[in-house]
Amino acid sequence: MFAAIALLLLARVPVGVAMLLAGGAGYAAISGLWPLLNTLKTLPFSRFSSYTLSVIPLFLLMGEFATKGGMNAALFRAARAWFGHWRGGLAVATIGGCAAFGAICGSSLATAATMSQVAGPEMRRAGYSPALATGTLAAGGTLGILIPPSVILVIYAIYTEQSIGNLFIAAVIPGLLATAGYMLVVNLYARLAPDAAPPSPRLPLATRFAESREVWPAASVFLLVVLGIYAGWFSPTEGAAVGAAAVGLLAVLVGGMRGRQFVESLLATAETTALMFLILLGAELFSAALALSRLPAFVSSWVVSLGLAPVTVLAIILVLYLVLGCAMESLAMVLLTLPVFVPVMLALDFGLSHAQVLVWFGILVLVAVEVGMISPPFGLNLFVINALSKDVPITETWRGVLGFCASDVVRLVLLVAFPGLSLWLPGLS
Amino acid sequence: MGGPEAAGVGLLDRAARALAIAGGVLLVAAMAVTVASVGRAAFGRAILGDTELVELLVGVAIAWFMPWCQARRAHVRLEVFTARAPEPVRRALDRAAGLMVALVVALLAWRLIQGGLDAHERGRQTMFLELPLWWGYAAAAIGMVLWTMIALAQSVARLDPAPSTPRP
Amino acid sequence: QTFTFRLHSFSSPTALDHTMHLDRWAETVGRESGGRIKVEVYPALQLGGQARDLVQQAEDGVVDIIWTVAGFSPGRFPGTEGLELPFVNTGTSATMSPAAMEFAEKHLADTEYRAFKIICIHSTDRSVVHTTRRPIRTLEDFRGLRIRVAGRFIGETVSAFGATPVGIPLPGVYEALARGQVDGMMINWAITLPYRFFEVAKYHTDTAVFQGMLLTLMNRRSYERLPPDLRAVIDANSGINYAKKMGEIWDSQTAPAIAANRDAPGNEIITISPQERARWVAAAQPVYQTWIREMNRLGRPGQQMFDDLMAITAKYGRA
Ligand code: NA
Ligand code: NA
Repeated sequence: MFAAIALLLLARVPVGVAMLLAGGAGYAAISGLWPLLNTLKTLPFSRFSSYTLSVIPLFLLMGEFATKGGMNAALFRAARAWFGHWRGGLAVATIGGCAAFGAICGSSLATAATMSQVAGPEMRRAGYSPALATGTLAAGGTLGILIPPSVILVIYAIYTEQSIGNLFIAAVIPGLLATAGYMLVVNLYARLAPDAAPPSPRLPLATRFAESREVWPAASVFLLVVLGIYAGWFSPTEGAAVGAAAVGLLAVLVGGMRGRQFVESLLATAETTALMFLILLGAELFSAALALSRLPAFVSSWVVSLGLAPVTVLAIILVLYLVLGCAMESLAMVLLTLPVFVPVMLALDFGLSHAQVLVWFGILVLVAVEVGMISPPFGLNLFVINALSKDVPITETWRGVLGFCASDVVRLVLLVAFPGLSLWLPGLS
Repeated sequence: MGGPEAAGVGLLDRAARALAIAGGVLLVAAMAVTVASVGRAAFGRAILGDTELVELLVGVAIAWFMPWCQARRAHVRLEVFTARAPEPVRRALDRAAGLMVALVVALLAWRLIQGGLDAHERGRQTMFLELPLWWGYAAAAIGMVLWTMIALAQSVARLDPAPSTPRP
Repeated sequence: QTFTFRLHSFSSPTALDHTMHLDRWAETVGRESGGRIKVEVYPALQLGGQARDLVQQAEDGVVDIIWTVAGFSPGRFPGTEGLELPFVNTGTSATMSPAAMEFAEKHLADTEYRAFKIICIHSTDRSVVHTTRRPIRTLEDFRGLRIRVAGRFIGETVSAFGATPVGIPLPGVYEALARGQVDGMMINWAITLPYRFFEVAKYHTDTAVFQGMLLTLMNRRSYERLPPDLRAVIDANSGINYAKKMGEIWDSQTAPAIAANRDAPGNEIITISPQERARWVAAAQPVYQTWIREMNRLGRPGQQMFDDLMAITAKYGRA
């Protein structure tokens, strides 16, 4: 099935349709044609009409309103005023923005897409290389799920009967490490390729404050959404709706958005939402076919039968995640593999308690599946970011994201070597 | 993002644009329902079944977004491996790919309509508002049918002698 | 000839529903059929769709067997919803589950379960009120609260108590409670353990309001494809006795769950007097009329079904 996808992609078939075709063929081959046709009666509309996923179009709408209201331009001017003279200053600011956004959003795609609306065109306008700009956005997007709250951790916690709060807290240090690692990558990139990230002149303090004045509408909406979600005023979907409404209102009152721009923002939201949900739909059918193939169960019994050292098995599992991450959506991948890997992990002796192993493994899985979203050639974040920056060839995005992938792998090794990084904050070490 | 002209004009494209705008209005409506629900929650009240209303509105909206994305040829695909291929090869590939998209989308549309008929016949509904699910299916079907027509038109249009231009 | 059946559920593979029920059932049926029936178990909606689609998947033969919560398919099993009415329940799963099977076989098998071979309809343990900030000691304490429920008639019950019912899918409930999106929920004890709801819902008013219905259904055509000797294997692992066994397993979870809730910091378990409970029962009466009217509307004998419902459950005990 993976080979079929690769072939279809080579033949210029859209990614979502390729997954639907390969997944559908696999499904029909195993289960029969009529079961496939019958499951397709409900699958697409169920995928489209999901309350948790409706956070994606709402955040995209918020981003479009912000763009049409000129808010991201204001953010950019302020960011340039404060960080522009640094090496890779705007990209550093983008990573910071992604981390902040990740603290309110549980989805990698939504973070990548929204921050791309805000930071993408501005980085490009400032003369950043397309590779660095799109690579930064794709990698930054993963902070949406590495930094809690995170949909994947909620699912994992329920699956393994661990405390959701514990897993969220356990993800804090790894999430900050990810942010710092990405900023370091930007800095190194800018050092090695100075042309990729042209610095802006250092501005006097008074000018910086003057340049920041127009930021208040965006900043106040951001604070409203962040504080609102943490204070329990609203859920992520509600936060996205409140944010979109507030930004829309500001765009009309302050940014001069009128009927024509409003319609344009709806059309842009439509386009991006549609391309994301076609991929999500394809991923769901593909995952179903993979589950039907019983491949995950086969792999599990095979691994246990090898009688390898625990760390070796863990390494194999993580590498497998990195490989699977090439073609699969992260949530689907987690759902599909946990039945295989959790029993294996609990059967091995790491010198840790069950609770320690489960929390530690949860963080490792989280990091490993997220690498899959940005590792070339196939990664959802790469496709989405690349689709949003139409003039950038995907080879450029691949080139730009490599450094971030390297930092992911380094971090994964660190987290394996030092379980305390995950277990200390929740008081499990 | 370019204007509608960039995607070429034609009755189907105009219909896709109109449907996408209508879908956008539904999304804004879902936003309004959610904001209203937050507002009422602030006063200790809740809107019964707001989540299921949002699910239906957004579900239909996304189905209505699909034809527009297709009309704009915006669905994510990999062009890098074939970017330097000779023009006739690329055109042949695009023709085949376009036809494949049209077939898949036609299949999805057919099954969704059947799913809607089932939902009607079996009385499937939402939990609190008891909204019939077939409303959502029926509305979504409009988007799926238009999506099919556009994908089909595109795969046929690629047969005309004008050279196919890669997406900008 | 061997028969392979696919079993689909939304539940987590480590949850009781799988480890103690579905996985065992698959294994037992496999063993007792001498390996001629093979049941592949797919937890956590691995084959796609949402929980609300499971029943249709079984009806359409997308899968052969499903496990789901009756309330997740609103309107599909209106008669079964009668079993979830407030204060008609027996208090334990070991008594409520056979009562449910008896009622379903008598009144529902030829109507809403026509397309299925009923493997088992069993109940949860008792569902009680859990709240985050305001303890519920009297009926009046419900006023103005937002209570998460799963099921139309429990929603109406909550309304009758003066609160507002809110529908949130199970995986979102912990966060909704933590964030104050809802003030509480009506849910059975056992489920509070895997979802660790006691970390966020501190007050537990331990009076059995109702018991939810869990459905294990097999596509009838899949069942009828089997030769008589293999059908007998399925029959031996379904029905009233099997439901009672499931009920006993569910009941074994109640005590540990209550202990976990009681021992969590800041938690309080509240009991109410019989007089207070009688007030709750009185407040819930209009909900019965709604259900009876609904049955009549569907051309079923509403009042007769309700009387029988009360008689059958009373026979097994009353909470
Ligand atoms: Na996050
Ligand atoms: Na990848």
